Amino acid sequence: MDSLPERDPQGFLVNLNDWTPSVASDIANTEAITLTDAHWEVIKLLRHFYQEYELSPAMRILVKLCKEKLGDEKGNSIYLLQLFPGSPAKLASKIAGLPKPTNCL
Amino acid sequence: MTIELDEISNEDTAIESKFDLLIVLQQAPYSSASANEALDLALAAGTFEQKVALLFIEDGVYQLMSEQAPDALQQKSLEKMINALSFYGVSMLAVESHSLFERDLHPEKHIIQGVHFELLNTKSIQDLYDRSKTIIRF
Repeated sequence: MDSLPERDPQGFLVNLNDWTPSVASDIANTEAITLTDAHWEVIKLLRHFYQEYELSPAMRILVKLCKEKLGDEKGNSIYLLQLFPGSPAKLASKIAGLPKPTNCL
Repeated sequence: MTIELDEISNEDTAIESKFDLLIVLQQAPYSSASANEALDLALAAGTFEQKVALLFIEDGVYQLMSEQAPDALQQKSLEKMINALSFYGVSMLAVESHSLFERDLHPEKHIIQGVHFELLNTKSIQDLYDRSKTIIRF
């Protein structure tokens, strides 16, 4: 845990370039989540989305993204809540090394 | 005769849909936060399934220039935000053709490719205003 790069008070990486898959696992551990393939699928989607648009998607857009790329079974809030309990958009962005979603209304 | 021609051309470019929100972007990018705020609003409104239209006019057309590289300014790329609009459900992007012409900008040469823009004349813009419930200028 000591090796985690600098994070803001909410746990988001200060420098996005610090992200590596092992950093992702460490951040997930601090949130009591063990990453599975199902998590990685979403994390990869998020990182790709950010590369393309420089945006951290809020919940509705994350659901839409998962629906489009992973299918209807995974494109819903219940599925995402199971993987990233509480606030999926926020938590998944944090683990994927994205900034906090701005339109988190 | 002239009147008839005008009516025909207006019909051709008439915008059929109505919009909950029309965002008018009329300032040059990166000199202030204005463009960024306008696009943030568009993304937020699109997220909540509002029917949104964007109109780029006057110096706002500079926001549409391709190959923006704002890294040195440590600002987010407006080009990338504009590319994201359609995923956020914002599909009506309009540009005032006269503003492009005045600045010697050509849609095929200088403007972001891969995003569809409606080129509107003054009359069609009036029509767009008439069809929008709320108009916010940036």
